Amino acid sequence: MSQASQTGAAGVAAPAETTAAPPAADQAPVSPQPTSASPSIEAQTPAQRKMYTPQRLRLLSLGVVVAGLVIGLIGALTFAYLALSLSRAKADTAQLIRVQKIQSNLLSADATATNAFLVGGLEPPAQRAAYDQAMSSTSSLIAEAARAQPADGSALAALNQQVVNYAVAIEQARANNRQGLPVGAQYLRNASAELRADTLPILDNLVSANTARAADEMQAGAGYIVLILAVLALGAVIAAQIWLARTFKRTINVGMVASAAVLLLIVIGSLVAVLQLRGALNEISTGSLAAVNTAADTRIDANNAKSNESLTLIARGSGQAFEAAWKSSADSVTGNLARLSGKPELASQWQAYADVHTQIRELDDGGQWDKAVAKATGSGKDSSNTVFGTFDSNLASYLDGVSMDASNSLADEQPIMIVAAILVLLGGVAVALLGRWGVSERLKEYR
Amino acid sequence: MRLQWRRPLLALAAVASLSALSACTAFTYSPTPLPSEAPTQQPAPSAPASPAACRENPLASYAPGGPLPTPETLPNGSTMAKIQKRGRLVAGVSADTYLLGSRNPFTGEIEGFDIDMVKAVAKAIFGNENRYQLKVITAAQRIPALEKGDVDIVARNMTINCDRWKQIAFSSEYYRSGQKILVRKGSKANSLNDLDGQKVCAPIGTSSMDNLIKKAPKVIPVGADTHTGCLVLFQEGQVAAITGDDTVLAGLAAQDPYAVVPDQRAFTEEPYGLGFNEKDVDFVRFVNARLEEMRTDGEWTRIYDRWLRGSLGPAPKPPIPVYGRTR
Repeated sequence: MSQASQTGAAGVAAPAETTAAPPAADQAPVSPQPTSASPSIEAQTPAQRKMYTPQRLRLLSLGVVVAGLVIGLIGALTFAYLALSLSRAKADTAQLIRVQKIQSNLLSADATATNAFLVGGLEPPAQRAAYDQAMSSTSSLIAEAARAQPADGSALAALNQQVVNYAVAIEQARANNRQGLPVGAQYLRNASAELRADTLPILDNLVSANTARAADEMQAGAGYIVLILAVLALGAVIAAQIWLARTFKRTINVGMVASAAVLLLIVIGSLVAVLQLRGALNEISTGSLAAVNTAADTRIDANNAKSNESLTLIARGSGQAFEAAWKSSADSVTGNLARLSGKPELASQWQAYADVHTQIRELDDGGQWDKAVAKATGSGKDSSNTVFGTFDSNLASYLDGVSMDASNSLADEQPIMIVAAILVLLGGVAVALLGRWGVSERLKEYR
Repeated sequence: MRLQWRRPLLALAAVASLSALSACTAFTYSPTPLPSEAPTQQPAPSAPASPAACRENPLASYAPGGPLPTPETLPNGSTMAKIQKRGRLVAGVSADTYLLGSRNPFTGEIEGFDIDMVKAVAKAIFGNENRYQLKVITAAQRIPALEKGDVDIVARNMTINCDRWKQIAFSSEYYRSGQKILVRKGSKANSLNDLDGQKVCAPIGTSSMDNLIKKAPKVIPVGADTHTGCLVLFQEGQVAAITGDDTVLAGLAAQDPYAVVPDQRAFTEEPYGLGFNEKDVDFVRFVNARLEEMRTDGEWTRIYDRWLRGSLGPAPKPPIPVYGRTR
C-alpha cells in the first residue's frame, strides 16, 4: 500500500525512482503489508523484519523528499510560466492595439486626404499637416510592431509596401489636382480603393492573429497541474502517516503531519491563485480588452464612413456606391457604440455627425453641391469636419484609456504569479525537509 | 543511499529542462498569414446589344418651326415660356468628362463643350447665357431624369439611337464622335490593328470595350472602371493605348502631354444629341432652330475650337441635321 501511494506521490519521477532503487523494486512484489497477519510474515524472524522496516523507511523518506521537490519545482515552473504568459499576453495585447492604431491612422489619413481633395488644388495647411502626421505615425508604428513581434514580420513588410504605394498614389493625386486635372481624382479613388481592397485585409489578418495569440496566453489552466500534484502528494503523505502510526504505535508523526499541513496550504493557495487568475483574465477579456476591440472597430468604421462622405462628393453624382459604403460603416458604428457601455456621450456625438452627413446628402441631392462641399470641408462649428473631429478625438482618448486598463490589469496579475511561484517552491522544500525529518525520527530507533 | 539520492535529482532536472524546452518551442508564434491574392478582373464582352430595328433614321429629329423666336416672342404656354417664367434652365450634365463637362477645380465651375451647348440654349430663352442650373447625373440617370422632369435638357455626351428614341426625344446631331485610340507620344500606331499583342484599355461594360474585343481580337484588352482609370493605367505604363470616343480621348490627352490621339479614322460612329422629355416636342424644335443658327453663324465652330481643337485638331464641318420625325 505504501509502495503504491509512494509512486503515486512521486508522480513524474516515478519511473526514475524505480530504476534508482532496484532493491526496493525487487522487494516490492514479495513484500506484503508489514503489519498484516499473512503467513509469510509470521514465518519471518524478527531480525528479518528489522531489516525490512528501515529499508521501507528510507524509501519513504526518499519518496517524501522527491514529492516535495517535484511539487516545489513543477509548481514554481508552472506559476513562472503563468507569469510569463501574462507578460506575453500583455505584449500581444500591446501589439494588437498597435496594429489597430495603424488601421485607424491609415483610414484617418485617407479621410483627411479625400476631404482636402474636395477643397481643390490648394489644400488647407492644417489638413495637410494632419495627413502627414497620420502617415508618419503609421510608419513608425509599423517599425515598432515589426520589432515587437517577429511573427508579424512578413505581414508587416507587405503592409509597409502597401502604405508606400498608397502614399505615392496620394502624392500623384495631389500633383494632378494642383494642376486642375481630373485624373487626380482617379488617382485618389484608386488609392482609396486599394487601401480598402489590399491594405486593410493585411491589417485584418494582423488583428486576428494577435487577438488569437493574446487569447491563447490568457489561460489559467496550467495552474491546475500544481493543484493535482499537491492533492496527490497530500493523499500519499496522509497514507504514509497512517502506515507509520500502525507500524510504530505512535499516533502522530510530527514531521509527517507538518508536511501534510504544508501540502494542504499549497493546495488551498494554488486553488485560490488559479481561480483568482481565471476570474481576472475573464474580466479582462470580457471587459477592457473587449472594449478595446469594439472601440478600435468603431474608430476604423467611423473614419471609413468619413472618407466615403468625401468620395461621394468627389464623384459628384456618380457616388452612390460610396454613399452605400457610408451607410454600412455607419450602421456598424451605431451597433458598436451601443455595446460600449459607460460612454453614452460618444453615441450622441456620432449622431451629431450623422445628422450633419444627412444635411450634406440633402444639399448634394438637391443640386446644391457647392453648399454640400462647403459643409463637408469647412471648419465652422457645425461643419462635418468639426463635428466628426470631436467624436473621433473623444473616441481615440477613450480607446487609449481602455487600452491602458487592459495592459495594467494584465500587469497587476504578474506579481501574484511570481509570489505564488516562490511560495510553492519554498512549500515544496518544506514538505521534503519536514517529511524527511519525521521519517528520520523513526529511523533512529534502528540505530 | 547517496546514489539513490542523486539519480532522482538528475531525472528531475531532465524533466524540468524538458518542460522548459517544450515551453520554448511554444513561445515562438506561427507567422501571421498574408491575404491570398484576389483574382484580377478579366474584361469580357458584355452581352451583345441587339441592334434595335429602326423604322426611321435615328438621326431624324423634329424640324424647326420657322426661324428662332426671340426671348420676348416665345409662344404662350410653350415649354420655353414655362422655363423662362421659372427663371432658369435646368440641365443634366457630367462633371467628370474633361473638355465636355467637368469641374474646373480653380473656379469651381463645371465647363466644357456640352456646357456651352446648355449656355447657347439658355441664351436663346433668356437672352442671358448664364441663366442655367446644372445637375450632375450619371450616364445611367440620363433617361430617368428626363422622364421624371428633374431636368429640362440633358447635355452629357449622349449617343442618339433607336432604343432611346422610344423613351425620350433628341435634338438634331450636335457632334459626330467616333471610337479612336490614344497612344504614347512617338508611337507609330494609328489604328487598333497596329496594337496587336499589346495591352489596350477601355472601361469595363461599355460599347468601347465590346468594339475593342470584336474589332481587334489580337489585342490584349484591359479593363478599368472609367476612362480616367484607363489614363492612370496608361501613365503607370500598364497599358500601351486607350480606346474610346474621340471626345473622351481628347479629354484624356489634354491631361497628359505624353498622350496623343493620332490622326486616324474613327472605327465607329457616335452621333451626340441633346436629350429631352419626349413630350417637349416644341422645345426640341426650338433647340434645333438654335443649333441651325449656331452652325451657320460660326458659333458651333468657336465652341469646338475652345474645347476640342487643342486635342482633336481643326474643327470639322458641323454635322448636317436630319429632320422629318413626326409624332
